[in-house]
Amino acid sequence: MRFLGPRSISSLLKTALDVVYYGLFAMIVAVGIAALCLLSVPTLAAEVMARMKMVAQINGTQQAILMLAFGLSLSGYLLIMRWTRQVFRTLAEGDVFHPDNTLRLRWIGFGLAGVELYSYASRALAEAILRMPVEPVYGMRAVTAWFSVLVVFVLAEVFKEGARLRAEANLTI
Amino acid sequence: MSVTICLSEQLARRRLSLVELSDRTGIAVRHLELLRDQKAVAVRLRTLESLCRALNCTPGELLVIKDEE
Repeated sequence: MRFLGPRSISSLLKTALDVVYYGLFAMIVAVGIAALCLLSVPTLAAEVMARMKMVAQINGTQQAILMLAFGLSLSGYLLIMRWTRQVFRTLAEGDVFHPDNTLRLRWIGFGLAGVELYSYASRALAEAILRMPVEPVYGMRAVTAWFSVLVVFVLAEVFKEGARLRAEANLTI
Repeated sequence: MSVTICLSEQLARRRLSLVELSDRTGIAVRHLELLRDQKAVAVRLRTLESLCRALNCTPGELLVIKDEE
């Protein structure tokens, strides 16, 4: 079983990431259209909910704002997926220590940190403005997110060192 | 101070071209160009040995320490 190069585990993962990337893209488009529909026809949500015999806690405009916020969060994940796909493309080609991978991994780290901070901010705003009960983030959930950010930054440095050693090996005669 | 490899001088002294040196040592011309242009960051002992044998010189004649300006 090979982990790097063509027809390997990384190649399989790259295909899986492609599927997730285009799925996320489709979801963002769908959420955007739904939010626009709710903004242009504010009673739409209430009508749909009434037909489904459900009661909405918030009005149509608030639902549209929540959808747009959700779409923005998905866009963050889309960017992270884009950089991850680029990294995995080089892994699937067998070019592990590609010089661009360091920067891509750093961007993934910043992206993960940004998505996490955005989730805190949106939770706080939803609680303060929309009076929505939001489950607080604590314990392992909060620690895992920030540890994964740090792990990605450490990996970026590992790739930087790998790229440096590769460049040095190319200039060793 | 920096270590430089005097390949051009040694080649000129023996009226040899890079291609001829490549044939004698088995080192690719592209790599010899890197050595000649001072682009290489490291030289393997094996490479140094084959260069010295091909040029009939000692490592001291091939490598010199120059003061950086």
